[in-house]
Formats: sequence, structure tokens, C-alpha cells
Amino acid sequence: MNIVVIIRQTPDTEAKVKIGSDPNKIDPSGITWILNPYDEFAIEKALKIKEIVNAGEVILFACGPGRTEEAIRQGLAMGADRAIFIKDDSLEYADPYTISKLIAGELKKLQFDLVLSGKKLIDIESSQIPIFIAEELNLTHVSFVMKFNEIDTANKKVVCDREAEGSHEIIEVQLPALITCDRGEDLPRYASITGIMKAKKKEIKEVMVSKEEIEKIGQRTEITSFDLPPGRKEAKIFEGEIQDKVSGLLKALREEAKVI
Amino acid sequence: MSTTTEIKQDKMNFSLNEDQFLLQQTIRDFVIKEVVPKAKDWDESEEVPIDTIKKLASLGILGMAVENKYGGSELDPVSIAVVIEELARGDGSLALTVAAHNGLGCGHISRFGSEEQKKKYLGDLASGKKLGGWGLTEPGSGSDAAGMKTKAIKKGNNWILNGTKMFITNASVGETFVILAVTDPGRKQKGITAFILEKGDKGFKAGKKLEKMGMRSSDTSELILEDVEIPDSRRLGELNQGFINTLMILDRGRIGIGALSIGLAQAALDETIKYINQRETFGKLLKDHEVIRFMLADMKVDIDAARLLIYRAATLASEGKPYTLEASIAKLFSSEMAMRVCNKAIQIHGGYGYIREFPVERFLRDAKLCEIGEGTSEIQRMVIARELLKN
Repeated sequence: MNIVVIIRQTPDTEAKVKIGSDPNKIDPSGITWILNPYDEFAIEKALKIKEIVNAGEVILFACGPGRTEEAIRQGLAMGADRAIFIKDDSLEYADPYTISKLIAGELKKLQFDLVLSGKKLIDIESSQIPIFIAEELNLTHVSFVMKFNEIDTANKKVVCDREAEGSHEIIEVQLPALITCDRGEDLPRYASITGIMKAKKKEIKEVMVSKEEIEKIGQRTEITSFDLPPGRKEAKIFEGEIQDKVSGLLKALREEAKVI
Repeated sequence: MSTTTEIKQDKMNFSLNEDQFLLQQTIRDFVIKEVVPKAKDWDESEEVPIDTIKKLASLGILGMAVENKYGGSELDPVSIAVVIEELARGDGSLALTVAAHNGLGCGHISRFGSEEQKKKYLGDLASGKKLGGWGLTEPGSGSDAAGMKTKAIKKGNNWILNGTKMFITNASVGETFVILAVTDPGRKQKGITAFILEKGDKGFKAGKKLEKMGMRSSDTSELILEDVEIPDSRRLGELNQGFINTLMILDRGRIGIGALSIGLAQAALDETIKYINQRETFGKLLKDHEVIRFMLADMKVDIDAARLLIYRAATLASEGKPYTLEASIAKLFSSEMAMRVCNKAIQIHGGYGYIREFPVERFLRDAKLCEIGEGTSEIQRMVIARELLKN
């Protein structure tokens, strides 16, 4: 069973994001880039499946600027077999449509049974890329999957558990399919020292794309500007006896906040 | 006179390579998730976190200095220093347990063991199935090995060992130990031999667990040897070469203790930065007081200087060049630096720094060990002066 995991690199959750001199870009200085945590869950799930079926390859697939290689190496160190990397620094702010068209174009050339990815990117909270790819490749897709209940290689199907609003949906999917992953119970493994040493020797196949190709796709969305969330207003504290505090609070809720 | 274009020089490199960087990120991630949230409890309960050590073992951290062919991960000394620093950022005790196991226990067998001994002992140590330790210090002697009382007497093809070892890291939790004993009393330091002992050897046991000021979840106990009889195949290295080999083990261990000091100091700095961004005095945040900023700058300068010294010593060790002097310089400066930095961190935290709810007091308690273990600061100064006056 060959599993492709589509990964992206995002700023660290701890990073303090600042807006750059162009308002539609962020200031990259001081930002630590990490493997998108939901993509890390996807890699973990892929490795678990490979361990269960004991056959096939886990292939990482990334599309982005050169720095993305760090995230790829991490995934390889965790245990993925090899990687394909559409590498171009101009893709730093490429929109989800462009990215998915590029990845889908390359994926067509590959033999795979399952495509996994994180359920969303933690930077722009986007969940679009994998779904666009599924559409582009005419693949069945299931989103927000917590775990795989069954891997049936003989009949080429998987049963997965998807979290819906307040409930779980158990879905059987015929392969090939694309599935986006939530955290679930499997915490991503840490790369072992041997994993790190082996990662260096694993293949990262770089795919170059021309400026014309990117332009031909034509981006569908554009970031016009970033804004930081407004600072929180100071809390209002009501002083005095309990009676006064309560009536003061009720008055404020009724007249100022107009919520009751 | 040569022009600048004619001078060809290798670039001096102060950055980690790709593998070392990925290793650092991995251990940092592990420490943030698995160590930082628990370190306070471990300190309070004074228990060795065996489960966490097993997890580290699965990453290959317990066989860092062991060759691949014996089941180790064969890391270079710079990488080992990076791992120890990152572990110490979360918990000094955990870093100490790992450093003693790797540098002393595994280190001595790896470097001076016979092929047979390496095959027999290193696999279990590198996989973390067994923890290792090392016994040099005694109640009445430490770096002053001429005062050693533990004796090994030859009886046929066997050795009979008697004596007590003191302040031994991993003594209670460890299973495989390298023990130094006097084999030729007349020759003082040149009459000392190393032996491999295992828990289960008759007459060999851990003594009472010692209650310490810091490093409280690292196990420190006595080791007691009462008529322990072992075959000559347990002798480690040449007869009467034990102390000469020990000096080489200590050189490497000093890089480890230095790296550990840096981890503690870095953790103290990280906590301090968090604190001064929240705490207000006299109408402004602590971080906006010049006096605090100056202290912060001094802490950073101290840490960076120490780290460069450690990397220098570790790089020399990686290249197979002599590094006794550099390791002592790095260990001395790093351990004293950690005391300065952790002390400043407490001072900046004020009353909150002195209570156990905040971690900085633990960092200081842990850091004090680094000025004592693997040769006190005074021993380091002796080594440095001796190296300077050698010729």
C-alpha cells in the first residue's frame, strides 16, 4: 500500500507573528518554521498503517519555498521513505488553488492507494488544499479523520472514524482516496537518532516549476493585507457591596453591552 | 608579503550541521512535551523517572556514545553536548542520569573494553534495558585517586573486591557499573584497575540513597563491595591502567557537565524573560527597567560564551585532537556561569524566585552540582594550570 502524505511548513505555534513592511506579508525575522502539526498527525497515521500492512511506501509530498526542506527532513526522520518536493521560493504566498493544482499535476504521475494530509494549516487556518486536490484527481475524500478502524488491503478499502459535530461518523471508503487527519489518539512519534541519520540518505526528489506554469494556473485568491487581532479591552470590575456589584453588572449588561 | 587573496583558510563554523539541528529540535520538542510539565513533581518526589528514560531509550539517547555495531547511535561529541543541554533545559536531574549513563558507564566500556566485553554489555546499555554507572569516588577520596581504599586482590583467575564507593550516580537504579579499585597499592595512581560489576554479583549492592540539595530526581547512592568475586574477564582495560583511562573518561564527561550547566542557565534565562514580560513594578513592566535589562544582557553573554567553549572542546574531541585543557576550561566556566545566571534569575524573580512554585530555584540547586561533580572547580583550575605549565 503506497501512501502519499501532503505536508506544509507553518510558523511555530509559539511564534509571535509580526506584519512585514508589505501589509500582505508577514515579517519572517525571528520565526521558527515547523512541520504543520496536523500534517505530523497524518504522517504518524501513515506510518502506523504501513506498520500494520507491512508493505508499501510512505511518500511525503511538499510544495513551497526552499525552507520547507526542514519539515520534509523531519518527516523522513520520523520514518517516511522518500519525498517529492515542488520547490520554488516564489510559492511563499501562493494561494491554495495554485498549490493544489501543482501538487495534483505531480500526483497524477504517481502510483498510490491513499493520500493523507492534516485537516488544516495552523497558520491561515485553511483546509482547502487537500480537498482541492481530491477534486482535481477525482478522488473520494473524507475530512477530519481521527483514526482508522480497519485497513483492508485485499478489498482495497479503509474504514475511518470521523469526528462530526458532537458525534462520530464511521465511514467505509474505497481506495484510492484522500483523507485529512485530525489528532486522534496517536501522538506523532519523535524521530530517533537513527531516524535522523537515515533521513539524510533518503531521497528528496525536487521538482522545478516555471514562472509561466505558475502564472498559467492563475491564482483564485489573493491576500490583500494582514491585520493583528485587536487587543483585548480592559475588564470592568464592579466595586462595593455584593448588592451594588450585582445591580451594577446587570445594568451594564442591559445598557452597555445590550446582551440581556 | 602575501595578499589577502592568497591566504586560503577554512571558514570557522559556529553553527550546528543539519543533523545536529534536527536532533536539537527533536529533543527540544520531547523535553517541552514530556519533561517540562513533570520536572517539578520529579524534584519533589526525588524519584528517577524511569518511564521517561525508557522513552528516551527508544529514541537512541541511551547509546549516544556507543558504536552502531554494538547497538548504539554513535553520535559525535558536539551532538551529545546538544542533547545534554536540551535535556537540562527541562530537568537537570534527567540530563545527569543520561550523561552519567552515556559518558561514564557506557563511555568507559566503549573506549577501553575488549571486543567480547563490548558485545556482552553495550547492547543492553544502549537500548536502555539496563542503566549504567561508574564508581571512582569514595567516602575519603575523589579526584585524589591516590587516596583510594577499594581494593581488588587476585585469587587464581579471579579478583576479590572490597570497599565502598560514594556519590555514585545511578547507583540504585543502575545495573552495570565500572568500578575502579587499587590493584597495586605501592604504585598509587598507577596501581588502579577498572572492573565491570553487575547487580546480582554476590556482595555487590547499593547503599543508602543520599538526600541531596539539587538534582533530586537523579539517583545518587553508595555502592558497597563485600568480598565480590569476579573472573578476570571482568577486568576492563589493562592492569593498573584504570586511572589513566579514567582521566580520559573524565575529560569527555566534563564536556557533558558543561553542556548540562548551559541547559540549566538557558532555562533560567527563558523563565526570566517570561517573568519580566508579565510582572510590573513602579508602574512599568520589569522588562522596561534598565537595571533588569542589564542583568538580562549579562546572562545572555555568559551563556553564549560558555556554549562556544563547550562547542570548541566537543569539536576538538570529534576531530580526535587533544582537548583536556579545553574541556576543563569549558566545564569550569560553564558551571560557574550557571550559578551566576541562575542566581540572577532568582534575584530578578524576587520573592517568587525563592519559592518552589517557580522553577528558577530548582535550576540553581541543580547547577551547584556542576561546580562539584566530575572534578570540582578547584580541580579544573589545577588541570588548566598544569596544562599551561607542562612545558
